[in-house]
Amino acid sequence: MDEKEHEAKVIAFLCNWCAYAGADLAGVSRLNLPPNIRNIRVMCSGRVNPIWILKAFLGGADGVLVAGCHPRDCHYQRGNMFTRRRFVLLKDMFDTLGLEGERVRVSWISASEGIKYSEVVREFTESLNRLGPNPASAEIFL
Amino acid sequence: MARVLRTPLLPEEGARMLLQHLLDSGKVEGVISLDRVEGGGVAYSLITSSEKASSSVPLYPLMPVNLGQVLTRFTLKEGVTRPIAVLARPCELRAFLETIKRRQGRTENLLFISQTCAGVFPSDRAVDGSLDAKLPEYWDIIRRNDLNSELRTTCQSCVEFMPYMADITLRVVDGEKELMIVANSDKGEGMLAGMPGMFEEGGLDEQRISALREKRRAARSSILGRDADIRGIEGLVKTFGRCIGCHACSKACPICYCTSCAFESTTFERKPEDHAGELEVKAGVRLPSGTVFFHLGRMVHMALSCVACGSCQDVCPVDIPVAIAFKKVGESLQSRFDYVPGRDLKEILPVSTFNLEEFTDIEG
Repeated sequence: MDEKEHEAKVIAFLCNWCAYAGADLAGVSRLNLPPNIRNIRVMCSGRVNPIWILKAFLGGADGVLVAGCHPRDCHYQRGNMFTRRRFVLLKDMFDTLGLEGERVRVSWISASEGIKYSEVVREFTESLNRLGPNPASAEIFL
Repeated sequence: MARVLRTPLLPEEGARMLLQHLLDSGKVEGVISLDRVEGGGVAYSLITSSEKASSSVPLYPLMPVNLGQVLTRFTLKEGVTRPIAVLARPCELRAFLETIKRRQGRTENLLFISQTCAGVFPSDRAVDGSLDAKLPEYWDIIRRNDLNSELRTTCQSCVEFMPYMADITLRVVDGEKELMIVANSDKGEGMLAGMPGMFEEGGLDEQRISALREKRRAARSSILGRDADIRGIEGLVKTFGRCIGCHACSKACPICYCTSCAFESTTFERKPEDHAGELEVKAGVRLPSGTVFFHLGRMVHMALSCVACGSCQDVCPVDIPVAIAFKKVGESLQSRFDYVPGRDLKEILPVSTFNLEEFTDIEG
């Protein structure tokens, strides 16, 4: 890797109905967005298997974001509530394993919150830049 | 207060007599218990004749496979149609109940007999035939209410050695010279009726149990601190790096019930070119890739229900302290949700339920 300043790479799983539409709005509103975020559209944040998050993380992503509808606002009534519990589990596991739990994040972003999306991804990438590269990105024997 | 039967027999004989009594009286048509096999080992068997049960070894300190897994598979397609008694250790019973919560097994017509559990030896002791010689010492340590450093490390550090949902509990760790049998339900009491011995009011010996729990708790801290370094990527590679990828840990796990596990499929296989991106930033990749991924993936799927039976570690050919690693993570997750796997069949899996106003601080 060259010596230029580390730019955090983020994989984001966005729900079709809220967060992805929010990201879309941020785009068409010409808001300033970090370039190193890879958005993946899923039908519901509750569809995100924690294994995908682990795969992104162990594959070297500096951060993984999962974003869905606000509580009580889920397109499928309660998918995001299961996401939340799963995140409690995942974060706790990351903490027990000393894996820097701040590299995984969950946010609630509605379809009208283009600004919130831009703020979340900007803050997230900034905090990841401060944290430095994911140690998994240099480890051969994973 | 529960009804307790004071039998005139030593624990192993008393347990065997209970099985024979259940078969002789026609209260059950079969019992599932440990039986000896040629070559020094034991195996779980469904026994239907009292004569055959007379040579069974119900309290033999080995767990050839977690009985929870056996029962899950036994009742997967259909519940048991005729009454059967099963003699399961607490972690085996708890594992079975966890799979039932995942709709993988059924309790109909099963009578659960469990015990205050002293723990089991690692299975390799059965292979070299040295275990029989160790039995007097094993029982001696139980009578002294002490720790046995030759048992599975998960057993040495187990504080969940009391069964939760058993109809009948055999008092082993808090036992006296003769076996005491506690009826926890009317069903259990009805099953004991007619057995030789004296009924009295009572329960478990709480004093002995809490004394033992304290000793185990101390052992737990030292074993968890000593046995598995899983801190950070570095720790994970150190602990799981020598994994040969046989997946025996997942095969032996009573919670890992998926018959088509994603890690057994080609889902995560990669084409040679798929490594190219990764190789731009690192000096090489391990082949086959995904060793730590497999263990963490399994962990995120089942650690919430991990009963710390130690079966995964028991079968590991390269002696990875899998069970201790999973116990560490599992206990932390479980306490986050105030959940004890297998404590109560009515408790919903924490990931299958939610409250609207909870964990609101998780959003970042």
